[in-house]
Amino acid sequence: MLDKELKKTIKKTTEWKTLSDLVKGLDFDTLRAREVELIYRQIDKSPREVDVKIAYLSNLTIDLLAPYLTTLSCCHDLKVENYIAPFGQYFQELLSPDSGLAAFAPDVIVLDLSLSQLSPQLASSFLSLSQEQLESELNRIRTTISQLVGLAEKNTGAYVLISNFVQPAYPQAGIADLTNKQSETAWYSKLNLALIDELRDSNRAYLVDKNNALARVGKDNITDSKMYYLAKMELNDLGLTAYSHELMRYLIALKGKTKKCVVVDLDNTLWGGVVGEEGAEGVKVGKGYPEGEIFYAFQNYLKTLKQRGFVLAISSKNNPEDAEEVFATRDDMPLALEDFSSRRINWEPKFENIASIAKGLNIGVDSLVFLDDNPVERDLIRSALPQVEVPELGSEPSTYLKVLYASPYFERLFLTEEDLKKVQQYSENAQRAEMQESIGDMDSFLSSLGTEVRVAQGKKETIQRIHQLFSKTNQFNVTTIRYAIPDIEKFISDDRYDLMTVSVKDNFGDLGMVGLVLLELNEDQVMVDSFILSCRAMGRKIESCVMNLIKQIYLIEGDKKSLSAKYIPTQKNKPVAEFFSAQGCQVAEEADGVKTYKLEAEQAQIIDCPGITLILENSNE
Amino acid sequence: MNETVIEIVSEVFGVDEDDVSESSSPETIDNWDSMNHLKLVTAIEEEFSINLSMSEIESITDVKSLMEVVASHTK
Repeated sequence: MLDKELKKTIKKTTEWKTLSDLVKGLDFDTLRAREVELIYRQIDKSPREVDVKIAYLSNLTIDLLAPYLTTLSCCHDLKVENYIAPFGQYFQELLSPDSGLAAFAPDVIVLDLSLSQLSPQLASSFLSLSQEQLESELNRIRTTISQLVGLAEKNTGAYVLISNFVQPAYPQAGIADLTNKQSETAWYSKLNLALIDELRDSNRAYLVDKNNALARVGKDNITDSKMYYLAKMELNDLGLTAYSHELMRYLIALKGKTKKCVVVDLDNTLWGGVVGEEGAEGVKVGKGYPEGEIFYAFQNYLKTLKQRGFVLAISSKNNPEDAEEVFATRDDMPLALEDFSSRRINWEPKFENIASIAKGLNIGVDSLVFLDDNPVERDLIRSALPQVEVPELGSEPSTYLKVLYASPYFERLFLTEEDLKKVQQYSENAQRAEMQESIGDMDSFLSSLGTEVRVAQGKKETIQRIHQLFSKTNQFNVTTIRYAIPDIEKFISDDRYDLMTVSVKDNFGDLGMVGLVLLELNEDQVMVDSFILSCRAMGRKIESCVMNLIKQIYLIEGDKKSLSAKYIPTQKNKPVAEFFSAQGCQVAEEADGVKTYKLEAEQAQIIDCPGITLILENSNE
Repeated sequence: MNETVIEIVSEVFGVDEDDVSESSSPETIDNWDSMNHLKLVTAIEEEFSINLSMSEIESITDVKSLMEVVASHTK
C-alpha cells in the first residue's frame, strides 16, 4: 500500500528513470489494484523508447493484466506498451490484416483462453459428457490452439505466450473424480500435456504454465466471484500479480535479460557459520541435522543452476586456505571447488572482486547475480555496481531458496545449448529473410549467405542432439522413425550403418547441428532409412548438397549399384513429399501413400547448390 | 469518509480531485465506463473493507449514490 505523499510524487512523475526508481522501491506484491493503475497511467504518459510491445488476446476480460505486467516490467527496467484486443476476438484479430493487432505490430502476444468460454458445456457439466465427447473436445481445443499459433506465426512477427488451462480447484465429482473412469483431473492434465507436445518444438510459441503459477498462491484466492459474473474477469489482484510474475519470466528470457553467472559468498551463505572461527570441520552443511540440511539444499540448488547453464563463482572475505580446506575435507557438500569457474577469496572489497570476476569470464557485470547473507555487502554492491542483480536474501537461511525461486533472472527458454541457440537464430533468420527481400532472386540470395555445410560421422559426443533430431523433427523427416538412444549407439558402432550429421554455418551465424542422414548399407545397395533436417535450415538447398554427397560417396565413386529410399507420409511432413523425386529418384512402388524410390548408380546426377561449401569431417582423424 | 470517496473516484478515473463532486457521474467523467465502474467498486470495497451486493453496485449512478451506499455500510 502506498502512502499519500508517495502517491502524490508518483502522480507528478512522468520521467521514465525517476518513475522506475520510485517503482523499484515498492513491494509490487502488496500494491492494490488502483495503485497499480496509477503507476501504469504514469508509465503510459512517460516519453520512452519501448522495449516490448505486448498484445493481449483472450476470451475473458483481460484488461487488468496490462497494468500489472507493465508495472512489474518497470521494476525490471523493461518499457512496455500494450494493446488489448476486443473481448473474444482472437481469431479475427489474428486473421485480418486490418485488425488493431496487425496495426499495433506486437513483439509478444499473450494468448489467454479460458475453457469456460471455449467449451462451456464441458466446464459446467463435465459429468454429463460421454467419453467420446470428452475426447473430441480435447482434440478440438488442441486443434484450435494449433490453428491460432499457426496464424500468429504466419501473420505476425511476434512471439506467442500461450497459457495452459487452469484445472478447476474443485472437480465436479468431488474426491470421487479420482476413482471415476472419466476423471476431470485426468482430462485437464491430458489437455495440458497435449499442449506441451504441440508447442515443444516451436521457436515462436511458448506454453505458459498458468495453472501452476496460480496454484502457487492458491486457487481459492485468485478470483473475485462477483467480478467474474459482472465482467467476466477471471483474476483478482492476487491472481493478476501471480500471473504477471510468470509472464515476466518469459519477457526476461525473450529480451535476453537472463543472467549468466551466480556469485556467492561463503560464510553463512554457502555453509552455516564462519570458517575462520569454527574451522573447516565446524561449519554447518550436510545431511542429518537441520542447519546442515538447509545449506545442503541451498548448495544443491546452485548445482541445479549450474546444470541449467549458469556459471558459478565465489566472492568471499576469508583466508583462501581456510575456505579451500572446507571443500577439500568436507565430503558432505554437493558442491566442489571445481564447480566454481571463478574464485575471489581474499580481503579486498567485494565490488572489486566482482568486477574482476566479470572481466575474467568475459561477460558484463549486468550478467551477474550476487548472493550474500550480509545486508551491508549487498547494499555496497547495489550502490557500487547497480547493474548486478542482488536479491534480498533476507537473514533466514532456510528461506534463501524461496528468494531464488521468485527471481525471473534464472529463466531460459531452453535447457540445452543447441535449443538456446535457436532463439538467437530466430533473429538471425529474420536478418536472412530481410536480405532475401532486398536481393530478390533465390540463387543469388543463397550464394550471398555463404553457407558452410559440415558433414560428420555420428559420434558419442553428439548423441543427445542426434536423439533430439530423431525425436523432435516433424516437417523435414522422410520416414519419421523415432529412434531411441540405444538404437543410435548401434548405428554409430555398427559398420552396416552410416549415420551422418549435418551442421550449418553462414555469414549470419552458427545454426549448429541441423540435420542427419541414416543409411543402411547392403551388399550392392544403399538404403536411406532416415533423412532429417530442422525446419530452420529448410529451403536453402542444404538437403540437395547432402544428397549430392551420398550419391558421390556410394554411387558415383563407390561400389553400390543403386540407392533406395522411402517417403512415409505423416500429418506434418508434406514439405518433403517430393524430395526424392527432386533428387532424381524414381518411384518404384506406392502403397497407402508410402512411396518407395529407387535410383540406379548410372543415373545419379549432382544437383547444383550455389554458394554452398561442403566440408567433410573424418572421424578417424 | 466522503473525502476518501472523492479521492478514490479521482484515482480510479484519473481525474483531478477538484473536478470531482457529488454530482459527478458517467455523464461528466469520460473514463467512467463499465470496466472502470468495477474498478471503482473494487477500490471502494478494499478501502472501507465492505462488500457491496450486485444490486448496490448497479444502484451507483453518480458520486452521491456511491457515498450513500458506502455510508449505509459503515454506520
